[in-house]
Amino acid sequence: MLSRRLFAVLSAPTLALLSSSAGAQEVSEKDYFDELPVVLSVSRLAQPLNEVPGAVTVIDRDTIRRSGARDLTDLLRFVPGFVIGHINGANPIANYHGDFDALNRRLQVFVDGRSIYSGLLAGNVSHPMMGMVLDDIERIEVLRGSNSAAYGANAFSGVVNVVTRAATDVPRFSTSLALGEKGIADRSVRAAWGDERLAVRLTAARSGDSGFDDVIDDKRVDQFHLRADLRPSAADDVMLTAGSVRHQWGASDMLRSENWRNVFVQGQWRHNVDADNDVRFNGSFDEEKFVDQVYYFTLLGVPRPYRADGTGRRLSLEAEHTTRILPGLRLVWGGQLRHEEIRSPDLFKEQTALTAELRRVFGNVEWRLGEKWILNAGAMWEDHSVVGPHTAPRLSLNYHVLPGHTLRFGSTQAYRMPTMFELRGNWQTPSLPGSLVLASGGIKPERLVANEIGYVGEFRQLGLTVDLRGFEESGSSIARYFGGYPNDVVNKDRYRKRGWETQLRWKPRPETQLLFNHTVLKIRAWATGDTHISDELSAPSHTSGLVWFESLPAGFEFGLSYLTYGAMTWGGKNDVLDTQPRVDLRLARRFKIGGTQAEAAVVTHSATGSYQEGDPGRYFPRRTFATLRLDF
Amino acid sequence: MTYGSAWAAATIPVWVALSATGGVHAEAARALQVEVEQALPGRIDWRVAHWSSFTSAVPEPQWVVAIGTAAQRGMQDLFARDTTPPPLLSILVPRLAFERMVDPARLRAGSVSAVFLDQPPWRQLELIRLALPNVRKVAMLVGAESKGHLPALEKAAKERGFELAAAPVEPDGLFEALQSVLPNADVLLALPDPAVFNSQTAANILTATYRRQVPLLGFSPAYVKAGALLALYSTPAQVGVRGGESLRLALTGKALPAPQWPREFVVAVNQDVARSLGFALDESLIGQQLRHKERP
Repeated sequence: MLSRRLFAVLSAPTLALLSSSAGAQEVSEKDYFDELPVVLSVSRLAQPLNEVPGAVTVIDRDTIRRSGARDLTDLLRFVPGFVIGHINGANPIANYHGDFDALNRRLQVFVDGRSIYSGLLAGNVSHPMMGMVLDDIERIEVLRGSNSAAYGANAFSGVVNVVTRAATDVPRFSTSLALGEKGIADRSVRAAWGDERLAVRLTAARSGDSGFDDVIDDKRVDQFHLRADLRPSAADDVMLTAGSVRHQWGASDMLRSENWRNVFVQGQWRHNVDADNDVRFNGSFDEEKFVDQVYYFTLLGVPRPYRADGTGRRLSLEAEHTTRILPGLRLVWGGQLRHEEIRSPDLFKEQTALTAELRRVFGNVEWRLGEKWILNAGAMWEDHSVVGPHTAPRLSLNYHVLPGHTLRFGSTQAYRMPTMFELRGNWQTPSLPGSLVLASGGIKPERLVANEIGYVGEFRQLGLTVDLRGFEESGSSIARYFGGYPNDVVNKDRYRKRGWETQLRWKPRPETQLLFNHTVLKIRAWATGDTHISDELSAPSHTSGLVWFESLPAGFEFGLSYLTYGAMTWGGKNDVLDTQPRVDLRLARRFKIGGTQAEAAVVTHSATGSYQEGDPGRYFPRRTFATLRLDF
Repeated sequence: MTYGSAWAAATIPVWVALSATGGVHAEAARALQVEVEQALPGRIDWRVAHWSSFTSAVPEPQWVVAIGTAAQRGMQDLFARDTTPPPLLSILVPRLAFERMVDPARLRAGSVSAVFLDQPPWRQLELIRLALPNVRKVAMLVGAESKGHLPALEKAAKERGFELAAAPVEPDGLFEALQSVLPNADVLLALPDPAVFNSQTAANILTATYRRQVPLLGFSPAYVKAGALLALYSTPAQVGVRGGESLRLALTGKALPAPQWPREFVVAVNQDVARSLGFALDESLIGQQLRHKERP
């Protein structure tokens, strides 16, 4: 009786709802005349490649999928001007046009607008770059060249902007597995759910391998990522991300254990005010922990632990307003506050936390001067609580010579703020008395002036795009560890990098994709002693790469990449690596099992045999592995 | 009474029933009236009002023009018991809505006709060919309502060498449909269906297509404003003028033309989106070329 009444109460409004919604589901002229909110407002639209104030390489989802790469650094091989190396098999590094050291501190890397770097480990980006699952990435935009005026001091040599896939863009459930030689064992699971208003994706992944031959550098990366996309109204969208990453290496070393951990949360809210105004707010919190514990033996042969651990935290808040002032004049301006806190008695000989604040104000105008010219002018003013204020300006002029053919002239000045370790580091090793590094704190930002001429050509009929960049990058006040024992961090030496680089993308037919990169780079360095020799060899004088993707019948895919680097060194003048090629191969098949999309592949890295990378004696081995991915 | 005998009368009583007073319906009505008045100045005794204010079928008008879906339904209901209802011209009505409501017998007898609001399939595809010459695969999201457009689109696509991919959208299944159809799509053709394209879903569809760099061809100016690359539509005035032409023909003794598509149309391009996607499109030039193709 009760249940029947309940049913009646429930069913009456439910039925009414159903019938009214059925009526609303029929098409009428209302569908043609209903107003819609502006969704893709000017600020949400990406600048086309021929109007960007710089050279940009985009690595899209399809390229990522077909690359056979296992981490982000590996993908940057496809970007002209990038130099990839390995400290060891577990620690790949990447820089643009050479970096004079293996600290990997002059590149800016963003993931969904969150700057990732280790504040604790001298601004290094290589650990954070291990902390992403490639299958979660929608595309990677690489800005070749410095862009401090738009992205701040870390964007000293280049910017890597990783855009992850929205929760709504991934299949409901995916799983992948890679197994192969050299201990390769990668696995991931991802689930996604939700609707137009709230969608969530969750990824858990573990990857690992045994690293290089004859080096204790086995690696394991455990990570967990969450992304939620909310759309409370048509004018608002909110993105929340959170995750944890644990990058561990050398676990098979009985005497030493090292790992780097990171947890983060981030929120971004974009609000469309009207057709010409958008605002964006972004906040993120990062915590990193570095553990380095090694047992050393005293003169009496007694093992003693030695640690170089630390914790870093940072909070970043950012607001940005994009406005169209006139039909051809767009302004983006905003500000950022960043608080950084580092605690490491081992690396700083300081029990309390060291803090630094960064305040930034930035602005950039894009001014369309008629049909042919686009002027981008911007500047960022940064005030670092220890170092003081600096301003980085940029000017770029794009000229559409003919439809599809654009020339670009740009000039910019950039600074790289010193890291906490460069300012306050005090590092001792157990084997020596006193400090190995003792920073006096007198360091000033590194400075770079870059001029460029670019060309972007699109030959639609041929399916060919051409990107050419000629550059001159003059740097001074390099932050160097200098003095011998102890080392201070001082501004020293200068350099000039000149050269050109090109990327050709050719799609002669829908099944074939070719990518050709070539970089010619001449570094001239002015430094004391023999340092200028290693400085001048810090990047190869030429780098060439060719990538070929072919879609074959029956769902088969073939991929080949060939890369050759000229001689270079990651260390001193005696550690010069020879010119060596690297060849990667991939054969895959995509097929369906019922409603499940499957992809099986066999990948070989360095197919022609091992080659030197990083320090001499470190060989990237030939390795073959099989992958299977299922999308449900 | 025959249509021809209307000519003999001094003034011809014509009802213009609006689905809503003001707005687009009134705009279409005005355009229709102007078109007729130019040919037959002062000959028509117009009665223009909201459809619900026509409460009695008597005194019976010689012509009824219904503007919009609600008005068509209202007028059909009003004359439902009439064995010889006055001829009805329904304008500014989507084809599927018209066909759902219309009495097939009256349609066959030629006493009901329409000027649709939608664009013919061939015009949509010709526009794609003109504006986006590299497009081969045309994707669509279809609901229970818009799947009615598929047969005609399939035929038109086949004739033009396009490949159509229609993803059915289940309730709460918009993202799955987008995921299934976007990876291989060169363009997404939006078909009006309130269950698929509405103010709630538009934001997600537009962002999803933009993220994948798939241009969207919308069916209203609102879509272009919101972020579609381009749209093809007819304004209320253009539909009204076409309706006026049909009515004028009938009033001057000719047969009521069969239901037809609007002849005039607008091609609109969102220049910001075009630039961002790397297209250089001139909306007036494309519009001209499309018109030239239809009426060389």
